[in-house]
Amino acid sequence: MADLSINLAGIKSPNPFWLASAPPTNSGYQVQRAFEAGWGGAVWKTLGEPILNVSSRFAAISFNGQRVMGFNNIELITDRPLEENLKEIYETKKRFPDRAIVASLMVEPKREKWHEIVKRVEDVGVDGLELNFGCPHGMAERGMGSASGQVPELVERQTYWVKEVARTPVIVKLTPNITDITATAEAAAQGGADAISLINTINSLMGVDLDTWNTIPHVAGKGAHGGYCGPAVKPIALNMVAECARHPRIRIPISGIGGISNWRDAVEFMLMGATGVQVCTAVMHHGFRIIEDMIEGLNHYLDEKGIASVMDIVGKSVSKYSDWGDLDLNYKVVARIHRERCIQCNKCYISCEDASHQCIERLVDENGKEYLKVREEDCVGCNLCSIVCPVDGAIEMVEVPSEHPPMTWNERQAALGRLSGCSVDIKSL
Amino acid sequence: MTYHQFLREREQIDYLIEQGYYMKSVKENLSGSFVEFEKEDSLSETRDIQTLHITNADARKYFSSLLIRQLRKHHE
Ligand SMILES: Cc1cc2nc3c(=O)[nH]c(=O)nc-3n(C[C@H](O)[C@H](O)[C@H](O)COP(=O)(O)O)c2cc1C
Ligand code: SF4
Ligand code: SF4
Repeated sequence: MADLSINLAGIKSPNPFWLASAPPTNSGYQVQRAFEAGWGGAVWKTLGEPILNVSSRFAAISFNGQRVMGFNNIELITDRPLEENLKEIYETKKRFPDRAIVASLMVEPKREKWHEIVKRVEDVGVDGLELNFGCPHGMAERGMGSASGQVPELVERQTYWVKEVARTPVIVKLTPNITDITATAEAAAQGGADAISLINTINSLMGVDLDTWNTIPHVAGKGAHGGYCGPAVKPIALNMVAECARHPRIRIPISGIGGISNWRDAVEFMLMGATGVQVCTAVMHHGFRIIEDMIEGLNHYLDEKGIASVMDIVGKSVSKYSDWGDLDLNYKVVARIHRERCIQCNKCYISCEDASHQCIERLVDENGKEYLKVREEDCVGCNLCSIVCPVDGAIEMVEVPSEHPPMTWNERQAALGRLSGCSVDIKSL
Repeated sequence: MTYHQFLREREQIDYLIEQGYYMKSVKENLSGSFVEFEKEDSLSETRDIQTLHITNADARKYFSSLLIRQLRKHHE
Protein backbone atom coordinates (compact mmCIF):
# COMPACT_ATOMS: atom_id res chain seq x y z
CA MET A 1 0.00 0.00 0.00
CA ALA A 2 1.40 3.31 -1.06
CA ASP A 3 1.60 6.30 1.26
CA LEU A 4 -1.30 8.53 0.24
CA SER A 5 -0.62 11.31 2.71
CA ILE A 6 0.19 14.77 1.43
CA ASN A 7 1.70 17.94 2.77
CA LEU A 8 0.42 21.02 0.97
CA ALA A 9 2.41 24.04 2.09
CA GLY A 10 2.48 22.63 5.61
CA ILE A 11 -1.13 21.44 5.69
CA LYS A 12 -1.09 17.69 6.17
CA SER A 13 -3.83 15.22 5.31
CA PRO A 14 -3.96 11.41 5.19
CA ASN A 15 -4.92 11.42 1.51
CA PRO A 16 -4.97 14.03 -1.28
CA PHE A 17 -8.77 14.18 -1.55
CA TRP A 18 -10.38 17.24 0.00
CA LEU A 19 -13.91 18.51 -0.26
CA ALA A 20 -14.02 21.90 -1.93
CA SER A 21 -15.68 24.83 -0.21
CA ALA A 22 -19.30 24.34 -1.27
CA PRO A 23 -22.63 22.86 -0.10
CA PRO A 24 -21.04 19.53 1.04
CA THR A 25 -18.93 21.46 3.59
CA ASN A 26 -21.71 23.67 4.85
CA SER A 27 -21.89 22.24 8.38
CA GLY A 28 -20.13 20.17 11.00
CA TYR A 29 -22.67 17.39 10.50
CA GLN A 30 -21.72 17.07 6.83
CA VAL A 31 -17.95 17.43 7.19
CA GLN A 32 -17.87 14.87 10.00
CA ARG A 33 -19.82 12.39 7.91
CA ALA A 34 -17.43 13.05 5.02
CA PHE A 35 -14.45 12.38 7.28
CA GLU A 36 -16.08 9.17 8.47
CA ALA A 37 -16.38 8.15 4.82
CA GLY A 38 -12.64 8.75 4.36
CA TRP A 39 -12.10 12.25 2.96
CA GLY A 40 -8.65 13.57 3.80
CA GLY A 41 -9.64 17.18 4.24
CA ALA A 42 -12.36 19.77 3.81
CA VAL A 43 -12.41 23.40 2.88
CA TRP A 44 -15.31 24.78 4.88
CA LYS A 45 -18.11 26.55 3.00
CA THR A 46 -16.90 30.15 2.67
CA LEU A 47 -17.21 32.19 5.86
CA GLY A 48 -17.98 35.87 5.91
CA GLU A 49 -20.88 38.08 6.76
CA PRO A 50 -23.90 35.76 6.45
CA ILE A 51 -25.80 36.36 3.22
CA LEU A 52 -29.29 35.70 1.86
CA ASN A 53 -29.74 33.12 -0.89
CA VAL A 54 -32.34 32.88 -3.64
CA SER A 55 -34.53 29.97 -4.63
CA SER A 56 -33.97 28.24 -7.03
CA ARG A 57 -30.19 28.22 -7.46
CA PHE A 58 -28.79 25.19 -9.33
CA ALA A 59 -29.03 23.89 -12.89
CA ALA A 60 -27.21 21.16 -14.81
CA ILE A 61 -26.43 20.05 -18.32
CA SER A 62 -26.93 16.38 -19.07
CA PHE A 63 -25.30 15.03 -22.19
CA ASN A 64 -26.13 11.91 -24.10
CA GLY A 65 -27.75 10.18 -21.17
CA GLN A 66 -25.13 11.20 -18.66
CA ARG A 67 -26.53 13.40 -15.91
CA VAL A 68 -24.65 16.45 -14.63
CA MET A 69 -21.92 16.86 -17.23
CA GLY A 70 -21.86 20.50 -16.25
CA PHE A 71 -23.33 22.15 -13.17
CA ASN A 72 -24.22 25.75 -12.48
CA ASN A 73 -25.17 27.68 -9.37
CA ILE A 74 -26.10 31.14 -8.19
CA GLU A 75 -25.56 30.29 -4.53
CA LEU A 76 -23.48 32.59 -2.33
CA ILE A 77 -21.24 31.97 0.69
CA THR A 78 -22.49 30.61 4.01
CA ASP A 79 -25.81 31.96 5.24
CA ARG A 80 -25.10 30.91 8.85
CA PRO A 81 -23.55 33.11 11.55
CA LEU A 82 -19.79 32.92 11.97
CA GLU A 83 -19.97 31.73 15.62
CA GLU A 84 -22.08 28.76 14.64
CA ASN A 85 -19.59 27.71 11.94
CA LEU A 86 -16.61 28.25 14.24
CA LYS A 87 -18.14 26.08 16.96
CA GLU A 88 -18.68 23.28 14.47
CA ILE A 89 -15.18 23.62 13.02
CA TYR A 90 -13.76 23.34 16.55
CA GLU A 91 -15.81 20.23 17.29
CA THR A 92 -14.98 18.62 13.95
CA LYS A 93 -11.25 19.23 14.36
CA LYS A 94 -11.38 17.72 17.86
CA ARG A 95 -13.06 14.58 16.52
CA PHE A 96 -10.79 14.29 13.47
CA PRO A 97 -7.41 15.76 14.44
CA ASP A 98 -5.59 14.05 11.55
CA ARG A 99 -7.80 15.54 8.81
CA ALA A 100 -7.17 18.90 7.20
CA ILE A 101 -9.74 21.59 7.91
CA VAL A 102 -9.24 24.73 5.92
CA ALA A 103 -11.44 27.77 6.43
CA SER A 104 -12.52 29.53 3.26
CA LEU A 105 -12.86 33.25 3.82
CA MET A 106 -14.39 36.16 1.98
CA VAL A 107 -14.73 39.71 3.26
CA GLU A 108 -14.72 43.19 1.84
CA PRO A 109 -11.35 44.38 0.52
CA LYS A 110 -10.51 46.15 3.80
CA ARG A 111 -7.45 45.41 5.90
CA GLU A 112 -9.20 45.39 9.30
CA LYS A 113 -11.98 43.11 7.99
CA TRP A 114 -9.40 40.52 6.88
CA HIS A 115 -7.46 40.81 10.15
CA GLU A 116 -10.59 40.29 12.22
CA ILE A 117 -11.85 37.18 10.44
CA VAL A 118 -8.40 35.56 10.22
CA LYS A 119 -7.85 35.88 13.95
CA ARG A 120 -11.28 34.56 14.88
CA VAL A 121 -11.04 31.59 12.56
CA GLU A 122 -7.51 30.60 13.54
CA ASP A 123 -8.51 30.62 17.20
CA VAL A 124 -10.66 27.51 16.69
CA GLY A 125 -7.77 25.47 15.34
CA VAL A 126 -8.07 25.38 11.55
CA ASP A 127 -5.10 23.95 9.65
CA GLY A 128 -5.10 26.67 7.03
CA LEU A 129 -6.98 29.46 5.31
CA GLU A 130 -8.29 29.69 1.77
CA LEU A 131 -9.08 33.16 0.47
CA ASN A 132 -12.08 33.06 -1.83
CA PHE A 133 -11.33 35.48 -4.67
CA GLY A 134 -13.40 33.39 -6.99
CA CYS A 135 -17.18 33.43 -6.62
CA PRO A 136 -18.42 35.04 -9.82
CA HIS A 137 -21.91 36.05 -8.75
CA GLY A 138 -23.62 37.89 -5.96
CA MET A 139 -20.56 38.83 -3.94
CA ALA A 140 -18.73 40.26 -6.95
CA GLU A 141 -21.32 43.02 -7.18
CA ARG A 142 -20.14 44.04 -3.71
CA GLY A 143 -16.44 44.14 -4.61
CA MET A 144 -15.73 40.67 -3.24
CA GLY A 145 -15.06 37.25 -4.80
CA SER A 146 -14.09 37.44 -8.44
CA ALA A 147 -14.38 41.24 -8.43
CA SER A 148 -11.24 41.19 -6.32
CA GLY A 149 -9.88 38.03 -7.91
CA GLN A 150 -9.76 39.53 -11.39
CA VAL A 151 -7.44 42.36 -10.36
CA PRO A 152 -3.87 41.24 -9.61
CA GLU A 153 -3.14 44.27 -7.38
CA LEU A 154 -6.17 43.51 -5.20
CA VAL A 155 -5.21 39.85 -4.92
CA GLU A 156 -1.68 40.75 -3.93
CA ARG A 157 -2.72 43.42 -1.43
CA GLN A 158 -5.40 41.34 0.30
CA THR A 159 -3.14 38.29 0.47
CA TYR A 160 -0.53 40.50 2.07
CA TRP A 161 -3.04 41.76 4.66
CA VAL A 162 -3.95 38.20 5.55
CA LYS A 163 -0.32 37.16 5.81
CA GLU A 164 0.29 40.05 8.21
CA VAL A 165 -1.68 38.22 10.90
CA ALA A 166 -2.07 34.59 9.76
CA ARG A 167 -0.34 31.87 11.72
CA THR A 168 -1.49 29.03 9.48
CA PRO A 169 -0.74 28.50 5.77
CA VAL A 170 -2.67 30.75 3.37
CA ILE A 171 -4.10 29.36 0.13
CA VAL A 172 -5.41 31.82 -2.44
CA LYS A 173 -8.32 30.43 -4.49
CA LEU A 174 -8.35 31.83 -7.99
CA THR A 175 -11.13 32.68 -10.39
CA PRO A 176 -10.95 31.32 -13.95
CA ASN A 177 -12.90 34.37 -15.16
CA ILE A 178 -9.76 36.07 -16.36
CA THR A 179 -7.75 35.94 -19.59
CA ASP A 180 -4.45 34.86 -18.03
CA ILE A 181 -4.71 33.06 -14.71
CA THR A 182 -0.96 33.24 -14.16
CA ALA A 183 -1.29 37.01 -13.66
CA THR A 184 -3.39 36.59 -10.52
CA ALA A 185 -1.51 33.47 -9.43
CA GLU A 186 1.71 35.45 -9.56
CA ALA A 187 0.08 38.28 -7.63
CA ALA A 188 -0.93 35.80 -4.92
CA ALA A 189 2.63 34.51 -4.73
CA GLN A 190 3.92 38.10 -4.55
CA GLY A 191 1.50 38.80 -1.73
CA GLY A 192 3.04 35.95 0.23
CA ALA A 193 0.52 33.16 -0.37
CA ASP A 194 1.74 29.74 0.72
CA ALA A 195 -0.29 28.00 -2.00
CA ILE A 196 -2.92 28.61 -4.64
CA SER A 197 -6.06 26.63 -5.40
CA LEU A 198 -7.88 26.64 -8.72
CA ILE A 199 -10.35 26.84 -10.22
CA ASN A 200 -13.46 28.41 -8.80
CA THR A 201 -16.52 28.43 -11.06
CA ILE A 202 -16.76 29.88 -14.58
CA ASN A 203 -19.30 32.55 -15.58
CA SER A 204 -22.18 30.80 -17.30
CA LEU A 205 -25.79 30.84 -18.38
CA MET A 206 -27.10 27.29 -18.35
CA GLY A 207 -29.97 27.65 -20.76
CA VAL A 208 -33.24 29.26 -21.73
CA ASP A 209 -36.62 27.55 -21.44
CA LEU A 210 -38.15 27.33 -24.91
CA ASP A 211 -41.73 27.58 -23.62
CA THR A 212 -41.54 30.24 -20.92
CA TRP A 213 -38.45 32.02 -22.31
CA ASN A 214 -37.15 32.12 -18.75
CA THR A 215 -33.51 31.56 -17.96
CA ILE A 216 -32.47 28.26 -16.37
CA PRO A 217 -32.46 28.49 -13.39
CA HIS A 218 -34.78 31.43 -12.83
CA VAL A 219 -35.92 33.25 -9.73
CA ALA A 220 -39.49 34.43 -10.22
CA GLY A 221 -38.89 34.86 -13.93
CA LYS A 222 -35.48 36.51 -13.71
CA GLY A 223 -32.01 35.05 -14.02
CA ALA A 224 -28.41 36.02 -13.44
CA HIS A 225 -25.11 34.54 -14.55
CA GLY A 226 -23.93 31.68 -12.38
CA GLY A 227 -20.78 29.65 -11.81
CA TYR A 228 -20.07 26.63 -14.00
CA CYS A 229 -18.34 23.50 -12.70
CA GLY A 230 -18.43 19.70 -12.97
CA PRO A 231 -16.84 17.28 -15.47
CA ALA A 232 -17.28 19.73 -18.37
CA VAL A 233 -14.82 22.22 -16.86
CA LYS A 234 -12.03 19.74 -16.18
CA PRO A 235 -9.97 20.53 -19.30
CA ILE A 236 -10.15 24.26 -18.53
CA ALA A 237 -9.11 23.72 -14.94
CA LEU A 238 -6.33 21.30 -15.85
CA ASN A 239 -4.83 23.77 -18.32
CA MET A 240 -4.93 26.56 -15.75
CA VAL A 241 -3.24 24.35 -13.15
CA ALA A 242 -0.59 23.39 -15.71
CA GLU A 243 0.01 27.01 -16.74
CA CYS A 244 0.57 27.97 -13.11
CA ALA A 245 2.71 24.91 -12.40
CA ARG A 246 5.12 25.64 -15.26
CA HIS A 247 5.33 29.38 -14.59
CA PRO A 248 8.79 30.31 -13.30
CA ARG A 249 7.51 33.01 -10.92
CA ILE A 250 4.75 30.93 -9.29
CA ARG A 251 6.81 28.63 -7.17
CA ILE A 252 4.16 27.65 -4.61
CA PRO A 253 2.11 24.45 -4.23
CA ILE A 254 -1.21 24.07 -6.02
CA SER A 255 -4.48 22.56 -4.87
CA GLY A 256 -6.28 21.38 -8.02
CA ILE A 257 -10.04 21.89 -8.42
CA GLY A 258 -12.48 21.61 -11.29
CA GLY A 259 -14.40 18.63 -12.62
CA ILE A 260 -12.55 16.02 -10.60
CA SER A 261 -14.85 13.00 -10.34
CA ASN A 262 -12.59 10.00 -9.80
CA TRP A 263 -9.03 8.93 -8.95
CA ARG A 264 -7.95 9.18 -12.58
CA ASP A 265 -8.87 12.87 -12.74
CA ALA A 266 -7.00 13.39 -9.49
CA VAL A 267 -3.86 11.70 -10.83
CA GLU A 268 -3.98 13.89 -13.93
CA PHE A 269 -4.15 17.05 -11.82
CA MET A 270 -1.31 15.84 -9.61
CA LEU A 271 0.87 14.91 -12.58
CA MET A 272 0.23 18.42 -13.90
CA GLY A 273 1.47 19.99 -10.72
CA ALA A 274 -1.25 19.82 -8.05
CA THR A 275 -0.16 18.60 -4.62
CA GLY A 276 -3.73 17.59 -3.81
CA VAL A 277 -7.24 17.96 -5.18
CA GLN A 278 -10.62 19.32 -4.13
CA VAL A 279 -13.99 17.97 -5.19
CA CYS A 280 -17.44 19.54 -5.19
CA THR A 281 -19.81 18.60 -8.05
CA ALA A 282 -19.03 14.87 -8.01
CA VAL A 283 -19.98 14.76 -4.33
CA MET A 284 -23.13 16.78 -4.94
CA HIS A 285 -24.00 14.22 -7.62
CA HIS A 286 -23.04 10.94 -5.95
CA GLY A 287 -22.45 11.67 -2.28
CA PHE A 288 -19.46 11.28 0.05
CA ARG A 289 -19.11 7.56 -0.69
CA ILE A 290 -17.20 8.16 -3.96
CA ILE A 291 -14.13 8.58 -1.78
CA GLU A 292 -13.89 4.80 -1.35
CA ASP A 293 -13.27 4.23 -5.06
CA MET A 294 -10.98 7.24 -5.22
CA ILE A 295 -8.71 5.96 -2.46
CA GLU A 296 -8.77 2.37 -3.67
CA GLY A 297 -8.11 3.36 -7.28
CA LEU A 298 -5.24 5.67 -6.39
CA ASN A 299 -3.68 3.05 -4.13
CA HIS A 300 -3.93 0.41 -6.80
CA TYR A 301 -2.49 2.74 -9.45
CA LEU A 302 0.52 3.67 -7.31
CA ASP A 303 1.16 0.05 -6.29
CA GLU A 304 1.02 -1.10 -9.90
CA LYS A 305 3.51 1.56 -10.87
CA GLY A 306 5.72 0.74 -7.90
CA ILE A 307 5.43 4.27 -6.52
CA ALA A 308 5.82 4.47 -2.74
CA SER A 309 4.28 7.87 -2.08
CA VAL A 310 1.60 9.86 -3.90
CA MET A 311 3.77 12.96 -3.43
CA ASP A 312 6.22 11.36 -5.88
CA ILE A 313 3.88 11.91 -8.83
CA VAL A 314 3.33 15.62 -8.20
CA GLY A 315 4.37 17.67 -11.24
CA LYS A 316 5.77 14.74 -13.22
CA SER A 317 4.02 15.87 -16.44
CA VAL A 318 4.69 19.60 -16.11
CA SER A 319 7.82 19.58 -18.28
CA LYS A 320 5.82 17.89 -21.05
CA TYR A 321 3.54 20.92 -21.25
CA SER A 322 5.09 23.58 -23.40
CA ASP A 323 4.27 26.25 -26.00
CA TRP A 324 3.02 25.53 -29.49
CA GLY A 325 6.19 27.05 -30.90
CA ASP A 326 8.25 24.33 -29.19
CA LEU A 327 6.39 21.40 -30.77
CA ASP A 328 8.12 19.26 -33.39
CA LEU A 329 6.78 20.10 -36.87
CA ASN A 330 8.37 16.97 -38.29
CA TYR A 331 6.54 14.55 -35.98
CA LYS A 332 3.80 12.74 -37.84
CA VAL A 333 1.00 10.29 -37.11
CA VAL A 334 -1.54 8.85 -39.55
CA ALA A 335 -4.82 7.06 -39.06
CA ARG A 336 -5.03 3.36 -39.82
CA ILE A 337 -8.38 1.57 -39.98
CA HIS A 338 -8.47 -2.02 -38.77
CA ARG A 339 -10.96 -3.73 -41.06
CA GLU A 340 -11.63 -6.61 -38.71
CA ARG A 341 -12.98 -4.23 -36.07
CA CYS A 342 -14.75 -1.71 -38.29
CA ILE A 343 -18.55 -1.92 -38.34
CA GLN A 344 -18.86 0.21 -41.49
CA CYS A 345 -20.79 3.00 -39.82
CA ASN A 346 -19.02 5.53 -42.06
CA LYS A 347 -18.70 8.12 -39.30
CA CYS A 348 -14.97 8.47 -39.90
CA TYR A 349 -15.49 8.83 -43.64
CA ILE A 350 -18.00 11.66 -43.19
CA SER A 351 -15.84 13.52 -40.68
CA CYS A 352 -12.71 13.31 -42.79
CA GLU A 353 -14.63 14.21 -45.94
CA ASP A 354 -16.55 17.18 -44.46
CA ALA A 355 -14.18 18.48 -41.80
CA SER A 356 -10.71 17.24 -42.48
CA HIS A 357 -8.58 16.27 -45.47
CA GLN A 358 -10.72 13.92 -47.60
CA CYS A 359 -8.29 11.05 -47.31
CA ILE A 360 -10.50 8.10 -46.34
CA GLU A 361 -11.42 6.05 -49.38
CA ARG A 362 -14.39 3.71 -49.79
CA LEU A 363 -13.08 0.67 -51.61
CA VAL A 364 -14.40 -2.73 -52.63
CA ASP A 365 -12.30 -5.85 -52.12
CA GLU A 366 -11.98 -8.84 -54.44
CA ASN A 367 -15.07 -10.45 -52.85
CA GLY A 368 -17.17 -7.38 -53.55
CA LYS A 369 -17.10 -6.34 -49.89
CA GLU A 370 -16.89 -2.63 -49.10
CA TYR A 371 -14.18 -1.35 -46.80
CA LEU A 372 -12.56 1.92 -45.77
CA LYS A 373 -8.91 2.77 -46.15
CA VAL A 374 -6.92 5.86 -45.23
CA ARG A 375 -4.73 7.33 -47.95
CA GLU A 376 -1.91 7.77 -45.49
CA GLU A 377 0.17 10.18 -47.52
CA ASP A 378 -2.68 12.71 -47.45
CA CYS A 379 -3.62 12.11 -43.81
CA VAL A 380 -2.55 15.01 -41.59
CA GLY A 381 -2.98 12.95 -38.42
CA CYS A 382 -5.63 15.25 -37.01
CA ASN A 383 -7.23 12.42 -34.92
CA LEU A 384 -10.77 13.40 -35.93
CA CYS A 385 -11.73 10.01 -37.39
CA SER A 386 -10.47 8.14 -34.31
CA ILE A 387 -12.35 10.58 -32.07
CA VAL A 388 -15.69 10.01 -33.81
CA CYS A 389 -15.29 6.26 -34.34
CA PRO A 390 -17.67 4.42 -32.00
CA VAL A 391 -15.59 1.22 -31.91
CA ASP A 392 -12.57 1.04 -29.63
CA GLY A 393 -9.47 0.13 -31.55
CA ALA A 394 -11.03 0.30 -35.02
CA ILE A 395 -8.87 3.30 -35.86
CA GLU A 396 -5.33 3.47 -34.64
CA MET A 397 -3.14 6.53 -34.89
CA VAL A 398 0.26 5.30 -36.00
CA GLU A 399 3.53 7.18 -35.79
CA VAL A 400 5.31 7.60 -39.13
CA PRO A 401 9.10 7.85 -38.94
CA SER A 402 10.38 11.20 -40.16
CA GLU A 403 13.31 11.53 -42.52
CA HIS A 404 14.20 14.80 -40.80
CA PRO A 405 15.29 15.56 -37.24
CA PRO A 406 12.86 17.43 -34.98
CA MET A 407 12.20 21.04 -36.01
CA THR A 408 10.03 23.43 -34.04
CA TRP A 409 8.32 26.56 -35.34
CA ASN A 410 10.63 28.65 -33.17
CA GLU A 411 13.71 26.91 -34.61
CA ARG A 412 12.34 27.35 -38.13
CA GLN A 413 11.77 31.07 -37.65
CA ALA A 414 15.23 31.47 -36.13
CA ALA A 415 16.72 29.69 -39.15
CA LEU A 416 14.83 31.95 -41.56
CA GLY A 417 16.07 34.93 -39.61
CA ARG A 418 19.68 33.80 -39.95
CA LEU A 419 19.50 33.73 -43.73
CA SER A 420 20.93 36.86 -45.19
CA GLY A 421 18.37 39.01 -46.91
CA CYS A 422 15.54 37.08 -45.34
CA SER A 423 12.52 38.97 -44.21
CA VAL A 424 9.51 37.52 -42.53
CA ASP A 425 6.51 39.43 -43.75
CA ILE A 426 4.75 40.22 -40.49
CA LYS A 427 1.49 40.86 -42.27
CA SER A 428 1.33 37.15 -43.06
CA LEU A 429 1.94 35.96 -39.51
CA MET B 1 -4.20 15.55 -53.97
CA THR B 2 -2.20 17.77 -51.60
CA TYR B 3 0.34 14.98 -51.47
CA HIS B 4 0.94 15.29 -55.20
CA GLN B 5 1.42 19.02 -54.82
CA PHE B 6 3.95 18.28 -52.07
CA LEU B 7 5.79 15.81 -54.29
CA ARG B 8 5.91 18.34 -57.12
CA GLU B 9 7.29 21.12 -54.94
CA ARG B 10 9.72 18.78 -53.17
CA GLU B 11 11.05 17.64 -56.53
CA GLN B 12 11.67 21.26 -57.56
CA ILE B 13 13.56 21.88 -54.30
CA ASP B 14 15.55 18.64 -54.61
CA TYR B 15 16.39 19.38 -58.22
CA LEU B 16 17.92 22.77 -57.42
CA ILE B 17 19.89 21.37 -54.49
CA GLU B 18 21.20 18.50 -56.64
CA GLN B 19 22.31 21.11 -59.15
CA GLY B 20 24.45 22.76 -56.49
CA TYR B 21 22.12 25.54 -55.36
CA TYR B 22 21.71 26.60 -51.74
CA MET B 23 18.97 28.57 -50.07
CA LYS B 24 19.86 32.23 -50.01
CA SER B 25 16.73 33.90 -48.73
CA VAL B 26 13.14 33.18 -47.87
CA LYS B 27 10.33 35.66 -48.10
CA GLU B 28 6.98 34.69 -46.70
CA ASN B 29 3.66 36.39 -47.27
CA LEU B 30 0.00 35.55 -47.66
CA SER B 31 0.76 33.58 -50.82
CA GLY B 32 3.23 31.22 -49.18
CA SER B 33 7.03 31.07 -49.25
CA PHE B 34 9.32 32.42 -51.94
CA VAL B 35 12.64 30.66 -51.61
CA GLU B 36 15.61 32.12 -53.40
CA PHE B 37 18.31 29.64 -54.38
CA GLU B 38 21.76 30.64 -55.51
CA LYS B 39 24.27 28.45 -57.32
CA GLU B 40 27.11 27.50 -54.98
CA ASP B 41 29.90 28.35 -57.41
CA SER B 42 28.43 31.35 -59.19
CA LEU B 43 31.54 33.48 -59.34
CA SER B 44 30.52 35.40 -62.40
CA GLU B 45 29.10 38.91 -62.25
CA THR B 46 25.64 37.69 -63.19
CA ARG B 47 24.62 35.60 -60.19
CA ASP B 48 22.66 32.47 -60.89
CA ILE B 49 19.51 32.83 -58.78
CA GLN B 50 16.33 30.77 -58.98
CA THR B 51 13.16 31.43 -57.00
CA LEU B 52 10.64 28.79 -56.04
CA HIS B 53 7.15 29.64 -54.89
CA ILE B 54 6.32 26.99 -52.27
CA THR B 55 2.65 26.79 -51.38
CA ASN B 56 2.25 23.32 -49.91
CA ALA B 57 2.49 23.13 -46.12
CA ASP B 58 4.51 19.90 -46.11
CA ALA B 59 6.86 21.32 -48.72
CA ARG B 60 7.37 24.37 -46.53
CA LYS B 61 8.29 22.06 -43.66
CA TYR B 62 10.57 20.21 -46.06
CA PHE B 63 12.62 23.19 -47.21
CA SER B 64 12.74 24.46 -43.61
CA SER B 65 14.29 21.17 -42.44
CA LEU B 66 16.81 21.34 -45.30
CA LEU B 67 17.55 24.94 -44.45
CA ILE B 68 18.36 24.04 -40.83
CA ARG B 69 20.64 21.28 -42.14
CA GLN B 70 22.27 23.77 -44.55
CA LEU B 71 22.87 26.29 -41.77
CA ARG B 72 24.33 23.61 -39.48
CA LYS B 73 26.66 22.41 -42.25
CA HIS B 74 27.70 25.95 -42.97
CA HIS B 75 28.42 26.44 -39.28
CA GLU B 76 30.65 23.35 -38.98
C1 LIG C 1 -23.41 25.21 -5.28
C2 LIG C 1 -21.99 25.60 -5.19
C3 LIG C 1 -21.58 26.46 -4.19
C4 LIG C 1 -20.24 26.84 -4.10
N1 LIG C 1 -19.85 27.65 -3.08
C5 LIG C 1 -18.54 27.99 -2.95
C6 LIG C 1 -18.09 28.75 -1.86
O1 LIG C 1 -18.85 29.11 -0.96
N2 LIG C 1 -16.77 29.07 -1.81
C7 LIG C 1 -15.89 28.68 -2.76
O2 LIG C 1 -14.70 28.98 -2.66
N3 LIG C 1 -16.29 27.93 -3.81
C8 LIG C 1 -17.59 27.58 -3.93
N4 LIG C 1 -17.97 26.78 -4.96
C9 LIG C 1 -16.98 26.36 -5.97
C10 LIG C 1 -16.36 24.99 -5.65
O3 LIG C 1 -15.64 25.02 -4.44
C11 LIG C 1 -15.40 24.54 -6.77
O4 LIG C 1 -14.38 25.49 -6.89
C12 LIG C 1 -16.09 24.39 -8.11
O5 LIG C 1 -17.38 23.86 -7.95
C13 LIG C 1 -15.29 23.53 -9.08
O6 LIG C 1 -15.13 22.21 -8.63
P1 LIG C 1 -16.06 20.97 -9.14
O7 LIG C 1 -15.99 20.95 -10.63
O8 LIG C 1 -15.49 19.76 -8.47
O9 LIG C 1 -17.44 21.26 -8.66
C14 LIG C 1 -19.31 26.37 -5.05
C15 LIG C 1 -19.73 25.50 -6.05
C16 LIG C 1 -21.04 25.10 -6.12
C17 LIG C 1 -21.46 24.14 -7.18
S1 SF4 D 1 -6.61 11.58 -38.98
FE1 SF4 D 1 -7.74 13.28 -39.86
S2 SF4 D 1 -6.91 13.50 -41.90
FE2 SF4 D 1 -6.31 11.47 -41.20
S3 SF4 D 1 -7.90 10.12 -41.91
FE3 SF4 D 1 -8.48 10.73 -39.86
S4 SF4 D 1 -9.80 12.51 -40.16
FE4 SF4 D 1 -8.71 12.18 -42.07
S1 SF4 E 1 -15.97 5.21 -37.67
FE1 SF4 E 1 -14.93 3.37 -37.00
S2 SF4 E 1 -16.45 1.78 -37.14
FE2 SF4 E 1 -17.25 3.51 -38.28
S3 SF4 E 1 -16.59 3.12 -40.39
FE3 SF4 E 1 -14.99 4.34 -39.46
S4 SF4 E 1 -13.53 2.85 -38.65
FE4 SF4 E 1 -15.40 1.76 -39.09
